Amino acid sequence: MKKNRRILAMLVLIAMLAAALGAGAEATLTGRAHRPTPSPSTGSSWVNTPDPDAQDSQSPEAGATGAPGLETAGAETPVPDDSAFEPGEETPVPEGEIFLPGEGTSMPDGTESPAPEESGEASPEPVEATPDAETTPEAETTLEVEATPEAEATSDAAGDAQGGVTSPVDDSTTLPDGSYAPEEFHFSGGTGKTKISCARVVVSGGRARAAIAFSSVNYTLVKASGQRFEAQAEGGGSSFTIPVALNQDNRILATTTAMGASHEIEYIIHITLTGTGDPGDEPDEYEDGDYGIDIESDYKMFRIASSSAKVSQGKVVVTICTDSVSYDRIYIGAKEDLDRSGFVQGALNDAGTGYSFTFELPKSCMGRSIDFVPGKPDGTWYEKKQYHLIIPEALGDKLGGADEPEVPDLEDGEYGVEVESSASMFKVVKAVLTAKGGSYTAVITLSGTGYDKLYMGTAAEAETADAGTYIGCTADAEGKYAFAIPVPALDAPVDVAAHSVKNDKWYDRQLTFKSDTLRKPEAPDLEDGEYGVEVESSASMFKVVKAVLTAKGGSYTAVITLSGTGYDKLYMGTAAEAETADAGTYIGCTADAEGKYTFAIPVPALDAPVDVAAHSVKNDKWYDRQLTFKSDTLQQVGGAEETAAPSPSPSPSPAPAETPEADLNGSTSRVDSSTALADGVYAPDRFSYSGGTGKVTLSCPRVTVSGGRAKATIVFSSPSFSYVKANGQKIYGSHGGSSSSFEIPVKLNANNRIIGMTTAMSQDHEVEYTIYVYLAAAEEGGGASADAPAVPGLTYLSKDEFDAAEFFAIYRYAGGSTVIEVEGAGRYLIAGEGTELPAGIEEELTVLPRPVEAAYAADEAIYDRIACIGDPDALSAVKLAGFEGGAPGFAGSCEAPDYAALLKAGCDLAVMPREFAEAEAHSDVVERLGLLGIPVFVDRSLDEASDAARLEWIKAYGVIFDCEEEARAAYAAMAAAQAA
Amino acid sequence: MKRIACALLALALLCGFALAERGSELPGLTWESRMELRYATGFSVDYYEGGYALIDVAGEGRCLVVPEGMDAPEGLDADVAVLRQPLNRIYLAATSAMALFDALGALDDIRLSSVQQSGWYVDNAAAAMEAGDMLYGGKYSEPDYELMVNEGCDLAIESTMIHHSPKVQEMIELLGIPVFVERASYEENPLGRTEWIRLYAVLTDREAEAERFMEAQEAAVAELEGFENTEKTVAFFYISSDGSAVVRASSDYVPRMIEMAGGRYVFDDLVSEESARSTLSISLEEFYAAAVDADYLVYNATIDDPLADVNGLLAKSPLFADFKAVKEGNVFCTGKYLYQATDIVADTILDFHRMLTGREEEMNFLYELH
Repeated sequence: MKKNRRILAMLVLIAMLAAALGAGAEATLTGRAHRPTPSPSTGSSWVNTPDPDAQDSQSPEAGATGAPGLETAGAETPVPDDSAFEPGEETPVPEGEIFLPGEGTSMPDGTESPAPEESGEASPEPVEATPDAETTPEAETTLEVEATPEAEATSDAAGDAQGGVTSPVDDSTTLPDGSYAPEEFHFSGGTGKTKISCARVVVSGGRARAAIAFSSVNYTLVKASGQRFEAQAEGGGSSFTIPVALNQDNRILATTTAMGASHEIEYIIHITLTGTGDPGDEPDEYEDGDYGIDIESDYKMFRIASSSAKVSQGKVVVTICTDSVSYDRIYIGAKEDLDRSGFVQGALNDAGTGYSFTFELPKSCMGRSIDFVPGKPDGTWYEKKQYHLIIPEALGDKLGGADEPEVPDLEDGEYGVEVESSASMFKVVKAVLTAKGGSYTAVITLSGTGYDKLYMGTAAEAETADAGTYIGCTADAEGKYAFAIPVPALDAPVDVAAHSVKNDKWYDRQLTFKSDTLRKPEAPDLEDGEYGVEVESSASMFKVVKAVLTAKGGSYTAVITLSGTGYDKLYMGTAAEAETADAGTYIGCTADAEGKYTFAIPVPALDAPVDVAAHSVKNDKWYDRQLTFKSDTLQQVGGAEETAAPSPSPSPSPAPAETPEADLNGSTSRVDSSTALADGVYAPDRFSYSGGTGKVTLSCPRVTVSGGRAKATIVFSSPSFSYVKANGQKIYGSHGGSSSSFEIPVKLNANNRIIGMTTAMSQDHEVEYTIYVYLAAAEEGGGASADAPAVPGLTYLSKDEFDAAEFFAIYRYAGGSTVIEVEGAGRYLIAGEGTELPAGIEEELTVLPRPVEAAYAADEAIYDRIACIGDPDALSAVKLAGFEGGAPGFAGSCEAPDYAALLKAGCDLAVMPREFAEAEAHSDVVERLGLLGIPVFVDRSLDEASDAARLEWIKAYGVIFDCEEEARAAYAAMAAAQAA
Repeated sequence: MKRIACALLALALLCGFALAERGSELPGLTWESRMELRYATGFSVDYYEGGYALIDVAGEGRCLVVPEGMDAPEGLDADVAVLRQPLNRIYLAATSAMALFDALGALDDIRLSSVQQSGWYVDNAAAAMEAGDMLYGGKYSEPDYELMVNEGCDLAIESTMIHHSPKVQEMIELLGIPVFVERASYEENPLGRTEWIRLYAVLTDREAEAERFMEAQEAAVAELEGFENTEKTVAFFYISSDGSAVVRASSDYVPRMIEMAGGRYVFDDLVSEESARSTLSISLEEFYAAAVDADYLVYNATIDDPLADVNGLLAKSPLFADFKAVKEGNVFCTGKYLYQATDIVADTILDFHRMLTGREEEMNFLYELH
């Protein structure tokens, strides 16, 4: 026994030791883990994942946080200068702290490692596919079993299909035929997630049929009364019309395809209808036409600004318009529904401020709240809560006026008339209707220049119609677009499709010419000229102290001076329209000599209140205002031709609006904006610019030539630019949510220097840009050749004739500029002396320095070729080489140059061998040289087929090293020697 | 007995391995000690005989600081960058480090800055640039390589943003300039961020100054120890240009600071869905739901512009009018330059503390919005 006991004791001891070991080891390990300094060499448990959001190199500025120095992931300082961070730009969420703590890393306070959560979140299921969604097969089975004994036991766990049956119901009724609203409707069954509603009961031939709708679109089939019914409509839900026994429970089986598999769900519905109501109470049929409808959403962030309905052949299609761009799609249905493929894609409105969603609305949805799920442009859906669209019981008023008794034909003549448009972006600011023999035409002027063509019909028709039937625009005195259109009828919406310039797309629009606004022009049009005029304002705070009206060709514009500086922008329309209008349509102010604000506005009519919304600087809000220009106060002041603003005059005119503040710093100079182009509005053929920090982009949507002078509209991608200095002036412009726009006198096809002043960073900053607005039509001379590279700003002259070389070509341009094109490698521009290259030209061509001061020659062959020109100056410019033993300093082979040495020597050109012509070969070297600002010229002489062709490459070096004469001579001599 | 012996031996060996505190082994160098860090977890420093120091930044790599006149040991791992002292022509593209260098008195060692003179709120840095002692070296993504080479730059200190521009880092290294990437901003503990001053002290041989600085910071924060949390809730956020609210994750250092100051961050278990980021963007609606009843709103004006008054906040969204903090007049805003003032962590915590205890007039870096 002793022995056994010993063994037992040993075993116990071992067990204890093992336990101790385990515990000890653990203790040691955990003890280690809790030490404040983890052993970092346990591998990179901290993984830095580049943040996909923070693409822009400037976005790190967003990473800074409020706590001192406690920047997120080394965010770059927002700098209040050129490299400034402009709030207009999107600031992606800072990269910040992405870490995946691995084993062994610990937080001093023992925070849970986020990793488990992370993986949880990474699961592909976007929706909580929770067990209580819809119904589980088990639950169904239970239901079925409980409900009717004859239902087959359909419980397959995978979810059953169409196993259940219903029995025929007695749907007869004594109610007279007609359509009835149910007095009461109840249903039970299902999980409570889906709601059923019953919009009406139709009695026909003494039999009752109920129109029922499910709040989820996924119901494909309903079994009722022993029959199967398929879903009737899409849109707000699934609807079915089924026979019902009134005033009693009816059992139905509905099949839903939510959750991926089909499920049959039992419901009991009970419709109370005793006929005490009048049949046909509800106007369930609407006449075809357009109606207002007041649809709301219960989700604050999905604000419906307006909605309308169109009834056609019994179907109701609604369009809801939001004023936010957060959500661009909606799914009509429950948030639990996984299959949202039937979502409604919203269309961005013209102003880019919201989306409109068009979908069919089954009549059964009237008076109900229908489930919907809003979706974001990035494809994600907002599923935190179930939101609803609340549909009113009935449509609103029919639009376009009810049938009215025929208005007698208008007498022949011209009339001013007000035109209502279906879209705020398509605003008619002036219309002159001409009646002749009972038919009407009108010349309408739009508020903006967004549309350049009209078509009398729908957008769909316009797409396929012959372009000859399009109605083009004519720019009037102020550059607004006027169209001459037929008017088929007054007081009825006329389909006028409009072609958007920017989107190159046709949009449906309707215009209604309101006969009650017709006015015969009392006085004949004012003669062209300038007039002082008194202007009455609707608000005392909006006082016009001076106004100069300019009449030209029957249209009027005015420069008005306000009493104060409270308003900085005007908009020809209402305040509500101004809010959503494109900032390009705002009218900015110009301070006059006394610092009062003046505005140049169109005047659609005299003696009638004109909507002019005014933007208050202090409150940053638009206010409704009306101005009336009183014709009895007109006093002619100026002559006809070159009138005051807005048309620019040849000499810096005294007209208030047109004299932007003189730039006292003198930082920009006057430009010669004269051009031979005819007056009109042009789209530039090319616009390029340089300068700025790269955060803000510039664009030039149009050039307006008026009185032989060109003005370019320059748009900055940030709203913070409050003025631009150009042409020796300080020019104010207009601002919107995301951009600032200015009209600047420019010299076309030339570099213009401008300075933009940005108020970002709460510290005013001036940023310099060089812009180049190119209009081919404005070129003098010309004569571009089909193969010669077109270089904006350079007039092509000729191409050199070669004897043999095929892998390069030399093109000559006016001003002594030359372009060498190397087959497959690129185009190199050597600017003529004193030639100013268009801003941004480096994007298109490689610009070689002139003169070359420190070239790098990759190999001896290249060096020798340059040497054989025989010009010592040219050769001495080759200070670096990719080979050893030569005169130039060795700076690493061309496959692995010594970049530091190149930089120290101030290398300004690298001449590389033909291998560099292939895009892939040595791309890393090319990239790095690019980073260092060293242009690469590829010598492909060794690709040439003959010695003669190879020799001819010294002509290229003659151009590059500015020794063409010597090169020509050397070539001639050597070619002769070769031939001999 | 044999079994017991074996078991005992195994135990001994295990304990031996576990307990032996060995620093990183380096060929040819004798390990002396490891820097005892009290708050920071993102780096470690091992000291070796002769004045060498091995810095290891978790997730970035290691570098060996070689004293002036000495050689790097042979056989050093290729992945260990060699930094030869004196490091006094530094290109600093991690702006948060500037204030720490200033606190160390080591501004002279920085020759090139990635920020223009007008962008510095660290007065001494702006002054150095004005005097021409510090030059603008181009922003981190577009450094002036030529200037770096011509100035003999001996070290580029970058933030993790450089990982977005790997070619730039590559180019700098190809020019023979070592690149050091700092990760102070990843520290959760506010004082952990400040403790990185001790790393820069190793580079510039100013350990004593670093110690003094840390002690001062700790003393300031120690004042708050034992202070009973007011349980008042604070929301710290800004509204980005797309209208969403950008807030800190609950485990981030700003909530920690708020807690240390005696308040509660309004989100107590907010984690970003994508990864454990410290800031995340949430919809205004979600922000509303969480913060409408917060006692204090503090607007982070280091990204967005500082707000002049409560109207500025209302201009971002009229929903703010519903907020309790707005109704009760407890809306604050950070100054714009806070992120650069790395040396005042403790003071910011104190500012939060002052905010929470109704001593707004004593605040230095936060201000109240009316």
